[in-house]
Amino acid sequence: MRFSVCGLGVAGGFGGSLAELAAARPGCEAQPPDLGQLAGRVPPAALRRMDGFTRMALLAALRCREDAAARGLADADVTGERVALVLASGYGPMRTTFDYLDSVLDSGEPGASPTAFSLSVQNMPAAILALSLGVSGACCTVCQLDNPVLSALVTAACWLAEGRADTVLVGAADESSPMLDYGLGRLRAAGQVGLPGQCNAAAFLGLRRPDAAGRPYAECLELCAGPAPGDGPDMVLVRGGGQGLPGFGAAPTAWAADLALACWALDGGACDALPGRPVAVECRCTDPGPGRATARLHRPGGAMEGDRAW
Amino acid sequence: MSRKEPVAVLGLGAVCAAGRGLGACLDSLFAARRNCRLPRGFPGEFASRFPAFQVDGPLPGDGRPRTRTLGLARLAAAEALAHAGLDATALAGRRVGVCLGSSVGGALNFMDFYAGWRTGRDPALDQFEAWAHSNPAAALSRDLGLSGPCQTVANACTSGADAIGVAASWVREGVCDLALAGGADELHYLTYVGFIRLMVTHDAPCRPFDRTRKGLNLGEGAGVLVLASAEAARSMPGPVRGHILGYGAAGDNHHPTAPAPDGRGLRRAVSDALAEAGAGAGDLAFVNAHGTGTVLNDAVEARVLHELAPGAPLSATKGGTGHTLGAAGALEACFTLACLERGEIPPSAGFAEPDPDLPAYPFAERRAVQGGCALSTSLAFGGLNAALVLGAGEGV
Repeated sequence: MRFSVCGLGVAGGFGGSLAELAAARPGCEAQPPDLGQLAGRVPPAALRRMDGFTRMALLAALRCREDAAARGLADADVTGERVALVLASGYGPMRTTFDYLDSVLDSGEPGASPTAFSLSVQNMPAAILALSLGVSGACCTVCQLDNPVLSALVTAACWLAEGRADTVLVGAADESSPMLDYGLGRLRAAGQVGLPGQCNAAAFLGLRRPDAAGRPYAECLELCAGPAPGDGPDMVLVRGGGQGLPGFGAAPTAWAADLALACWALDGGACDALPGRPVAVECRCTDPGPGRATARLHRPGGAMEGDRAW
Repeated sequence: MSRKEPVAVLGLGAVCAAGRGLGACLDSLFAARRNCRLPRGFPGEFASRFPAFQVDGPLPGDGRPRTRTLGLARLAAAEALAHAGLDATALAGRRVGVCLGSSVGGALNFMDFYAGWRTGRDPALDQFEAWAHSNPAAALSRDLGLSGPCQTVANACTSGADAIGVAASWVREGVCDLALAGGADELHYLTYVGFIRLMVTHDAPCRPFDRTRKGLNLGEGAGVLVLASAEAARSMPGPVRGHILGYGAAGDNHHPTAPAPDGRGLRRAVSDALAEAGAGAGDLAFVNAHGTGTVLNDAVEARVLHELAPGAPLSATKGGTGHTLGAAGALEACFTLACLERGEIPPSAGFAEPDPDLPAYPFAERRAVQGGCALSTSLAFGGLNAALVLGAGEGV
């Protein structure tokens, strides 16, 4: 499972850059992202038809694409038939789902909103993203509470390896709701453990084959469910048991933030959780069952003298 | 797209309104039976006007709140594993992935719980708990104690076909040795109302590709296939029942909800799937079309299939199953493989009169077919298109 990460984009209550994600403070998961930066990037009419979840994911995806361009990728590398998109989420477009429920409960069957219904279908955000980004390769939405990011990455890596796409934009997005807080809180009160948290955040990683052009942030050398075999690097990011770094907290999609931060740090970005410009970072998710995961990321070109190594 | 190694299919499982078990489904389809009735248990007036295809009888549970979608997935998975001669012991120690498509399975459709919460009451927790623990792929993976990759594909009506394509990639790339792949969806009240409000639902049994077609009927069900690498297949107790030869997926890049009238995404998906399979149109024994019975879907599909698979007999099975959304592509993959084995396709229930505007249409009677592979197509909301080329198993 080898691939390179050639672009990064984030959006959330912490801000809109990797530096802001790296410096995020606890509690920012609950804050809404500033979506004002979509103006000028997306036609107003198209923007008006999008729900908040889709806008947030689109902002992160656009930043990822711009970042990839700044790192040497051409337009043709990030648009068209050879580009695929995988969007991972724990909850999907939650607010449009509740909008649709409201319309059924308030107005009965004859007043149920067809627009809210269509926007609540879980693949709609990815479909709208693909349309907005000019991506017409394979498009896949992954929706599950158990580390949706791992399976999205596995699928993306396979698609790259077998030549189904030259670039895969892998995104992760979740939005929060007091209703979900209430429901998860009641399950916890009933003694259930290992339940995820919430966030208002999105992250996108642009993936290419390891031999692709451009200046990648990092290469992923290992990606697996559960622990990776053999010795890992000395720099490790661990999440699980309802704990996670600020920005995405313990949301189902939070592993995407860990991976993005690892790439950022490998490229020399300042990150308290990964000090000293590491050469290799292992991101682990220790949640039980299908949520367990390990990714080993390495700086492109290998270790350099004086760097931290495996 | 270059030719890919075939992925073996070791077992098949299917449940839908046509029957519990693949054999029962095929009996019903070949007899052109249509278990299409007004839905049971739904409030409101729509349930007295719009029929649907529901599965009869109880579904397997574990004594805890779980969704109907998961029950359907469990039923189909149990049949597929039994068909492959596998049990939990045989899976232990192997890298087994689970990739299931679902449109409803992961959605936050806990209406009663939500209604209680928004009016300040403390509603019963059952619906919410069922949602939290019923994600189809994750729950099935936990049921069987598996440790391989696990993914619920939420691609609306292409989910089942996409999940099979994704799982085939996992197996081919060595991510896992075996995979349970397919799709599952229940007939949910909120989805039922939503489709009626979109005005794509017929108030009588649907008529795919017919001149008088007026829309779809929703259904429910699950289809699961056991996929294996060539190496894993050699060490398994049963024969190889079929192959995944090719998969293509492409977007229309046209409109959020309407299919591209020129079928550009479907054309690429079919072309890619055929190229991966190393097959040409002349190799196809038949095509199992998505064939929902909506005016737009059938028009786009007929046009593209006439162009890319001219002469291949067309089969449309949703007249016997309803549109099972995330399960549809998987159920139809099971039917396609079974029909390759039988050497015949069932009558396309609901089709009677060709539409003069459509260049291709299915058969109203059962028909013998010849050939080692067949195509199955799926189209979805959001301009998604998926195509699978499926190959016959040993002894065909």
